[in-house]
Amino acid sequence: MRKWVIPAIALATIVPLVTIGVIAARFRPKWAREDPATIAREITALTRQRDSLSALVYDAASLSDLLDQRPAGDVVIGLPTPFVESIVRTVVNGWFNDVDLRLPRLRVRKSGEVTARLGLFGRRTVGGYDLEMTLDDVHGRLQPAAPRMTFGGNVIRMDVPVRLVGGTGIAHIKLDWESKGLAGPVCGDMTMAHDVTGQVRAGNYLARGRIILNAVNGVVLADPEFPSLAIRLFVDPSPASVAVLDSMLATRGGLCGAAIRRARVSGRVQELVARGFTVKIPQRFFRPIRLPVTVQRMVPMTGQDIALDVRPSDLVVTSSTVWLAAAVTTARTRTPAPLSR
Amino acid sequence: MKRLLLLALLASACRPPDPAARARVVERDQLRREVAGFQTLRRFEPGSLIDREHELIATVSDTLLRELIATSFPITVELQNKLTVTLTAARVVFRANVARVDITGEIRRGAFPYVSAAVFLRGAIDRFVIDPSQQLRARISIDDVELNTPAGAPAVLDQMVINVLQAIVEGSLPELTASLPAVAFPVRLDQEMALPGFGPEGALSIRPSRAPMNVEVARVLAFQNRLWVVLHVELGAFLSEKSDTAVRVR
Repeated sequence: MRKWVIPAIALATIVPLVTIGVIAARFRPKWAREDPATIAREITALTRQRDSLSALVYDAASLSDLLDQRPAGDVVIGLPTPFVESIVRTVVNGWFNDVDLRLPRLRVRKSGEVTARLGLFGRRTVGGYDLEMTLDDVHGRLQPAAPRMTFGGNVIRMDVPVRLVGGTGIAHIKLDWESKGLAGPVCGDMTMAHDVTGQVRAGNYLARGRIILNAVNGVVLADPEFPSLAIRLFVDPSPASVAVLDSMLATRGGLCGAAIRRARVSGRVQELVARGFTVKIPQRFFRPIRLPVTVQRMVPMTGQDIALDVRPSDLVVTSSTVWLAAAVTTARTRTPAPLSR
Repeated sequence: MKRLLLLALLASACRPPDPAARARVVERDQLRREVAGFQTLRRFEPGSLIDREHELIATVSDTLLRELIATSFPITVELQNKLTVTLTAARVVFRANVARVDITGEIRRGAFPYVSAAVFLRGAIDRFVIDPSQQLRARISIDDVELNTPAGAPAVLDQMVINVLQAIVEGSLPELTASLPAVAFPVRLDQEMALPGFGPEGALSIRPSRAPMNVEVARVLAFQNRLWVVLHVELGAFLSEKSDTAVRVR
């Protein structure tokens, strides 16, 4: 027999056996790959650790006032009242975010007669004026301050301080002067027009109302109830602008000038805007708030939408938490379920 | 190579079974998961499980969870060597802050030898996330596989059949885990808040505005036969829709 035959047979036997052995070791059952003594020690240590941790955690959970008044339901959502307050506070700021108060084109008018004592002639009518002011571009902005909130059941009472911050306005002023009596031949009639600029006066207001929490179709809705808020917008004509108006009128001299000065045009302009302009913020302005969590009626599971039978119960509001609960079953296993358990 | 592999598996199957050793490994793995579950909650003092200003809780009963998972079954997974695993049912149990899932099914070979066995997968619901569609979801992870009641081979070979199939199934755990359903909870979390515009009406006009909302799963508790998912919510400031600085967080 040739001398290479025996090694070849040995090789042909040993290589597969070693390969089988290696693969067999690789595919040993999991339990066979670890040292039993090490596992036993680890179990003892882990059991001790788990028991001490479970005591701590269950204490923490059972002492939590958040959890102990939870209503029954297959799906229950708990919104701690500070969380709700925080959301509502941000939304209230959002209500007044970027609020542009812009008066529509407004026309105000004042007319009257001017009398003057004319020496021997006594008090006489020297003219009549017709002052028309067109407010063209008066706008201001609203800014909220931190609202004050009081929780009571499902109602949050709110005081929202609102500040009207600076704005500007332009008014087109048209004066028609009709000379009368002795001033007539001297002055004649006159019409003049001038644009007056002004500043919107800053002011503080208080929107006082309440927000009612409701559960609607698996969502917590916060419905605001605020009576209409009236904001009075005052425009202060700029002194420089009014001075130009006065100086235009002052070009007339003598009896005519005296008669027109009696008309106190700049004063009349001030009177026209002194009462301010009311802007109503209607109830609809305070838009409902939808809290950001919903119990769904459909869930996607492995490529198919599973319809759910969702029966929400009423909102439960405790001192610490707003609870939304629902009895939920899959439509496939629909069984009569009470509204709340 | 396939024959070598089969021989290797048969060789490994020749090892005498040790049910106690196997049970110890299962117990150890479960304890590891339970301790890990508790440790995430360790830092909380009584009454402080929730950051009350920025967190909310969504809880789901084990009954509903079981029903939801059941809708995905049966699941069939093709493995190597013409083996097919059919998972037929799942059981959900909450214990020691772990949502345990036990799945039962069958493994069957579609060619000679036509062997089969009952499959029992032990795992847990974990990896909770809010997915891009604003759905609260979790995955089922498998810790352990157990096979029993073999059929199709002479009784004397039962243990060998079990061991071979067991090795194959353990080697295919990633495939099996991937085939399990992502558990969708019927809870939707918005990722922004929107306020409609107003007017122009009278002197008022307001542009619609949006506030970005970042929602994350903070921690999960499993007790009182419920799963409690604590969600951390950060609401940004409202910005008008036309504003260049408006950002939607996704």
